[in-house]
Amino acid sequence: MRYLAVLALSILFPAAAAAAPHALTEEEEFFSLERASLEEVLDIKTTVASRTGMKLRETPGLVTVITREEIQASGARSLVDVLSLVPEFEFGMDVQGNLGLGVRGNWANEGKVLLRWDGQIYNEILYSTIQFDRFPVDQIEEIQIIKGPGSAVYGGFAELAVIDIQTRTPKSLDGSSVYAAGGLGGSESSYAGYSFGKAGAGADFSAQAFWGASRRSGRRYTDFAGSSYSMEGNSDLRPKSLNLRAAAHNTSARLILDDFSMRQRDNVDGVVLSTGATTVRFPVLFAEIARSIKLPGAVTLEPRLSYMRSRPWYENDEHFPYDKRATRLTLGLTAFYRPSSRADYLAGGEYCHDDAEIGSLTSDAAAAYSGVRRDGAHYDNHAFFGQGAFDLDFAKVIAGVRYGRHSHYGGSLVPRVAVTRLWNDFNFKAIYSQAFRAPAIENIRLNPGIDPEKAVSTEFEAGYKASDTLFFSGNLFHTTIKRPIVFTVVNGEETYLNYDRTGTLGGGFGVKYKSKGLRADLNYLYQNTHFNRVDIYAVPGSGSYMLAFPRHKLTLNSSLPLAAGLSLNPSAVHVSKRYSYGGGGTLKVFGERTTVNLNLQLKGRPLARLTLNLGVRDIFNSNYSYLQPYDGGHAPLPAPARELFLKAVYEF
Amino acid sequence: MNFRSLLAAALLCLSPAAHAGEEVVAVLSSAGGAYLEAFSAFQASYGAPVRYFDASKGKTNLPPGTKLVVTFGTRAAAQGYPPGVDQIYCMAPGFFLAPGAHSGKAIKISMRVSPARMLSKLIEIQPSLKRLRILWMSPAYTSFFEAYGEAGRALGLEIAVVKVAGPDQLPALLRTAIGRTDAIWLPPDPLLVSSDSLMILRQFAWNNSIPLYGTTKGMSREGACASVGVSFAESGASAAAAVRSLQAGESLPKIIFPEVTELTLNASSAKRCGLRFSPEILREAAYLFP
Repeated sequence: MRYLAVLALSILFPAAAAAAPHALTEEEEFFSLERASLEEVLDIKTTVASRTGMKLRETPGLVTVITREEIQASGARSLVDVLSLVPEFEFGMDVQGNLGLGVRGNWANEGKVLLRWDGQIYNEILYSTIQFDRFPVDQIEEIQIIKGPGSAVYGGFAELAVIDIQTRTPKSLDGSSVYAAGGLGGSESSYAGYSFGKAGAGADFSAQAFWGASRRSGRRYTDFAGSSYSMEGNSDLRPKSLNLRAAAHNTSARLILDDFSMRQRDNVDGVVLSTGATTVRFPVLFAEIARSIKLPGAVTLEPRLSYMRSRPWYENDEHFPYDKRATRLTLGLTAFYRPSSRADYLAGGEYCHDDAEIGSLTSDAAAAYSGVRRDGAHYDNHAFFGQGAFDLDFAKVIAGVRYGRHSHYGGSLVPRVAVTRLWNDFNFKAIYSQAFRAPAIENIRLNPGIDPEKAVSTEFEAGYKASDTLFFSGNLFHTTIKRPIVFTVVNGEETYLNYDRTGTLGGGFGVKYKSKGLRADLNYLYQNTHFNRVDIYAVPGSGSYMLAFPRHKLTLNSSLPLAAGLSLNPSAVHVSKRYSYGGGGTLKVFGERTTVNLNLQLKGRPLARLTLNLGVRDIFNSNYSYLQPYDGGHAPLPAPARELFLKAVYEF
Repeated sequence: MNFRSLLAAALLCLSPAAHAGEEVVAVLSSAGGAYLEAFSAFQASYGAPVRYFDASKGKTNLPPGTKLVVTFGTRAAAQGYPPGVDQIYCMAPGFFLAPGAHSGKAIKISMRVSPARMLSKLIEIQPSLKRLRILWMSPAYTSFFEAYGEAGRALGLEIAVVKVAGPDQLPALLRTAIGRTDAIWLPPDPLLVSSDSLMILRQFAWNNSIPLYGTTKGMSREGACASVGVSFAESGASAAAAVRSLQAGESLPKIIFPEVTELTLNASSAKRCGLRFSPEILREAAYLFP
């Protein structure tokens, strides 16, 4: 309670701390706008330092940035479409129609990938899963992906990757934007949204509303016993959200109301429900207030107070009745200190209080906590982190550490060290980091003795800027996960256990070309494993494979200008063969697949500020399916077939 | 639409002279901030309402009968306008309309003062100044620094012009300047001017007692010992004067260096660099940062 009072005071009453506003001055804004204009006119790129003074080529992580322009041009219908173009990512099938993410061949569904949407953590806190179908892509301004551990700064969900998504700022909106889309075939995706934003005189406000309706697929799902159903009408995906932001001077507040539901008939164990489809819901509310306080001596403080209330996996039927309310209260304080251009520091602390309350319709089997039925659960977590970046003559060195202490499973300490160097047109990075996955509320319920799992990762990257229009990069990685937390069934009872170890190694390369309107981004990843000890992830007889994930993945995202305002935007994903289980415990090989998409984009015609998109997703009907990355009894879930997709965006 | 632009629009509609053929219109890179400040000064100096368009909303379609467009910022200047329309462009540091790219007259209002006046002022601030290093990055500046060399020679100054390939090269470039220069000048180059670059330059200046000079009030606030430049308001007023001259049939140079300059000083930076401002300089300064 004392923490709450102190933080609330420092946020709301800046006299308590020596406050000096640090909004962008008129002149800084002028030079920033002029720089952007000049870069566009002259078709050149200059690196603008990030908040902590690090440029993309020096950032201590292998980072992918996906811009709004790229997302819109690609004709992506959803975040799944966008992330599929990242070679390190591959979607797999979890349960009840929910897709999870694999990172570099490691199944990362529960608590191994952190997803932030405008700073709010969208990993639900019961199982730590993410529902990737709920996000409105047309609200996105930029996605930054750290393709590697990020726990030293971001905490216990960031074991293998961080996906940080920023929506359109009030300034970039500067008025209203309305959009609508519809698809024929495939996912039959349709959605509409309205966004409004205004900024000026030290204040800003935005409101973004979204409604969507689509389906996982229109194809047929067949379980291992041979029962099947058409996914048309039985795999509905229904997201809707309202995202409000208000800021004045250095204080900002955000409120997000988000509800998402999935309809499915493949249930938890993959067996087709004979009584028809059922619906699982994921309603959530986020509220946050934060402030930036500039102190004398180049120190900036950022206190933050956040509240999340959710009801993940809510299901009211006879198959798996489940109703648990999960809330999280977070108090955070981060300090930034930049004494000179050659050093900067950040340090901070965070306190989280988690609560789980059991609703009456939850089955007894799913309700027991701490040996006492229907009692709910309460946990506290304290974390402290720090990072320093030092610009030495020969290289830039970044070192960070995070210590977290959980009221149930104790403490975790994870360090991170990175060395980056820019040398003329070359850049080099070497990163060593440890990260952890924190057991979630339901993990602890099913096994109170569960421990956090820990990842140790080594990464290298080299890049070469051949010209202002052409850039090459290559990378190597080695990730070991010790004591991985794995869902399993022991003596008929569901539980989570810490296994021995798993992990992957590999490498990739990328080529980026951009000149005026022509853009091409080609990326490749290779991964395998020789040290996986989790038998339910393994491919018997092919020890270097992990279930469901390809050894090779190649992606292309490009844009070809055809005429003023008109561009053709092809994208493609090629995956090599994958393994998954078929019926009767047999292993099945899924051959290589290439998914090709085309999107025609017309800007400013026939109306100024109108953008039209006409695209075809999966032109050649690749017959792709999402595979389950563990031996869980779930048959492959068909992905959408070919789809004709039309979208209109109008700004005013 | 904010209140100021709404008011301007209302005035425009009410004034009987407002739409007199709309021979003169203005285009702003963004309807706010420094651009609006300069346009407001332009409007006040010009004396008749001029409609403005916001280039950030998309390409501007000039109303029929437009004979002269005044643009504020690079985005507005680079849009391209119908053949025969004269263009006066200001607030576009580092951008120059290519010869032949524009069939009407194209006149730039510079954000710099003339080389001779600027260098004379620097000598007045720092009488011991003999060697000056100029840092730049925007490609368009290439042909203009010759004028600084000539003006410097006339004043007994040795001018070294150093191209910066990227802000990350600044530390290495600055180290080579130690012992070879008495001061550094930073033009209003948007590709080079940022809070991080200014921090690097300020640190270097303080650590080596080599004064840093700039061109804007913000550069002085961020640690330049002094800045000699043109304020946003003066840019607008100079544009208005140029419009009146063109309408009177006068011939104008391709680049106009405004006569009214703005001198801003930073006392603590000067102290760290061993500079002492004369009483005349202190009286002349528009701003003195502590």
